[in-house]
Amino acid sequence: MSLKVDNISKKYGDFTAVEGLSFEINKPGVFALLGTNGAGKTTSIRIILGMLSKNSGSVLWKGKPMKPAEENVGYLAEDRGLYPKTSILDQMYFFASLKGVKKNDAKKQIDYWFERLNIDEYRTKRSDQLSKGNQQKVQLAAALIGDPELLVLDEPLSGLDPVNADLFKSVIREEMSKEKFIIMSSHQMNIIEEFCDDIVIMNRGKTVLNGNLNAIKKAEGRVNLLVKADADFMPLAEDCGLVMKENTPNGVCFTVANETQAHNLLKKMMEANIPPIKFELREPTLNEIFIERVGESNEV
Amino acid sequence: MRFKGWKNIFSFNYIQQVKSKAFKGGTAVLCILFALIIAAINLLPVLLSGDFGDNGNQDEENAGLKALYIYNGTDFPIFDFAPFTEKNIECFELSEEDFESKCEEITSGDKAEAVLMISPDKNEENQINSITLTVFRPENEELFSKGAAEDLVSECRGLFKDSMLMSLGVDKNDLALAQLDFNTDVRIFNGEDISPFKEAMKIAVPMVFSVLLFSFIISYAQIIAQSIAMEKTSRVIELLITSVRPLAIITGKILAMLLVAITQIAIIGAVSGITLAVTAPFGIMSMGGSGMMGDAISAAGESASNADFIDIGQEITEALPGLFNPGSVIAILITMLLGFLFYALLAGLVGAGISRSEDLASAIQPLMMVAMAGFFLSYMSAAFNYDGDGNIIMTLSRYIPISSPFALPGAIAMGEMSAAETLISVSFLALLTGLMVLLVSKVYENIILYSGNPLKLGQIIKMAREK
Repeated sequence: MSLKVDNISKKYGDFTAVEGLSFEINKPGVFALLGTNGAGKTTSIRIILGMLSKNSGSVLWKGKPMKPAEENVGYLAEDRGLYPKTSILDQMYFFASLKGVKKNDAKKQIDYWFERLNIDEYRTKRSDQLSKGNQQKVQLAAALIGDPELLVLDEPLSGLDPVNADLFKSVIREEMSKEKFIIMSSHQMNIIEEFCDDIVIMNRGKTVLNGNLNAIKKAEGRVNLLVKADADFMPLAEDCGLVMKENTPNGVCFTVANETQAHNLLKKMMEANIPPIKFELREPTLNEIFIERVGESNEV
Repeated sequence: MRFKGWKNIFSFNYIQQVKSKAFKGGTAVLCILFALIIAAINLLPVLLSGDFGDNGNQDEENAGLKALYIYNGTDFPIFDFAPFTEKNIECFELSEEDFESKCEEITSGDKAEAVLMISPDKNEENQINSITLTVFRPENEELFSKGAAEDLVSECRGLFKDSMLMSLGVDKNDLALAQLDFNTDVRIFNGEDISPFKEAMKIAVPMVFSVLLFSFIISYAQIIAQSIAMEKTSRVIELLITSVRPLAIITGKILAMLLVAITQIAIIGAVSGITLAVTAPFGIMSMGGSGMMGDAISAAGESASNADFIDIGQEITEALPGLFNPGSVIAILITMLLGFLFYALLAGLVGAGISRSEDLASAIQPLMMVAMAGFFLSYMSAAFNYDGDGNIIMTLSRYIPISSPFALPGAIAMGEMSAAETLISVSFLALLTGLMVLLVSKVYENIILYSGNPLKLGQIIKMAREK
């Protein structure tokens, strides 16, 4: 079972919204779709879910062309939407019926998710009587009803308070434990790092980075050096050719060209009797990779 | 597969619409309105004529009269007292001598009694010019009212006249013949009956059909446009189309609205029927009648016959023959269905073509203008049909697809369309509705997720060609 997106493109007149996007999800887990605003993430998701026609390429699910209306797919859209004047319960039964869930099963699932997401007390309310956060919970429940095999979450945590964000994360983990295929789009890089193995970074419709997150980081190398000491070690760093990135209360952060530069600094500090309180050589964060790659792409 | 899931969309939309306050409130208002109109049409003529009250009071007040004293000053014999004795009114003949004292006694007395004086009016040559009947009643109005006295003298006049003629040798049969009513009528030889009622129906029926059909079709088209626009602008549509195709959504929605409309019409029809049944015994609709409608109306309630009122049941049966012909009824239903579908699909495109709810009012204007043009063609051509012979605009309105949903059902109901003419008109409408189905099936899936300024018809057609 896999999802294969092969070279999909979408044009609106002269404007190219998505150009040659390709990726493959071969095993259950969370796949991240990253990009700046207007990068083409939502358009790509809509093409994958069959909402939009594509100019070229193909989307295969389990080896066959993707037909979402015939598959068990859950979708939490970026633009949240519920019927404002209809009771939450009626809407949930309706969404369940669209996914072919029988009424008895739907009741069990609705009860479970309402309880799990702490919205049971709102079941008879209209959606326009709910807070934005609670509406988002209802929509997540709607996406999860029917126990979908493929779950697409477009900015799932945006606008949530820390408590509810944590609740959403626990639900995503629960779905991961059920071996689900999950596509997640987000601007919150820490969330992506927490959940995702594989990523695609898009910018202006084009793919700027694609692959396994750990492999990408490893390939980038340990380029960040954080040093903290009681004495002034900056002349030594300059001698080693290090460029300061930022000075924080936690220490001074440098960008290193290679690990030898870092080793030289450590040697000189020891020789100068300036023992480091903190000396950390680490890989770049996803946020750093994202900014660097998107920045490069924009310069080109 | 493009329509898979339409039943779920259908049942959800139907239930939500019927549960809505707008439906309940709107239906209640329409029921009250129709009940009032039917009650008014049925009861007002009776109430305004005053006959209902007078007929009832006459018997009641005559029954209050205990004795009638009659002084006959003519040479003609007095009439038979049987009609009065049957009502327990004792009758006595008075002599000229007793007349004055009896009048004085009754005037100031406390009995429900009256004196009838029949006196000849003679000219100078002692020939009778006329005969006057005078009733002397008690001063106390409660014993025998002026109104009852007027009814009494009117009844006595008829009885005395009959008695007088019979005394002159006219037998009962001749008398009945002499009293026959003479009716008047104007017709064209071998032409149509142009009774005032039918003449009025020829103008009123197309107008009423136009107004009712326009109101229903456009109201529901607007609801469809609003509903689709709401789903789109609230982004619910994105959730829906992961499970069902857009064509299934619009199909389910339109059919749901059609059933909602039928439900509303059925409720209003039931309330109207109950109102008719309740008011029938007291109004003009109970005045006999033949045929299906007449029988139904007669069965609704029995009432005293009144020759002044038209036979509504009979007149409606004759004026709207199409309503009693199964073929015509089917043609009417098909026309209404196609008209509903045409405007509903157009409304679906309007709703799908906007991205912001505030754009709906301006986006729906072209649809409203098309519908208004169709409605005015149908309505105004009927309003100007003074002579009942029809006019060219009226004929055109029955064939042009934007107006035929409003004009054709009335024309079929009045029996003014032959089978061939009906078929041609329905075919035009079916063709346009078919083209609309084709257009919607081509572009709806694309425009439902369109975001931007409201789409114009030209852009939609361009999208259909591009696809």
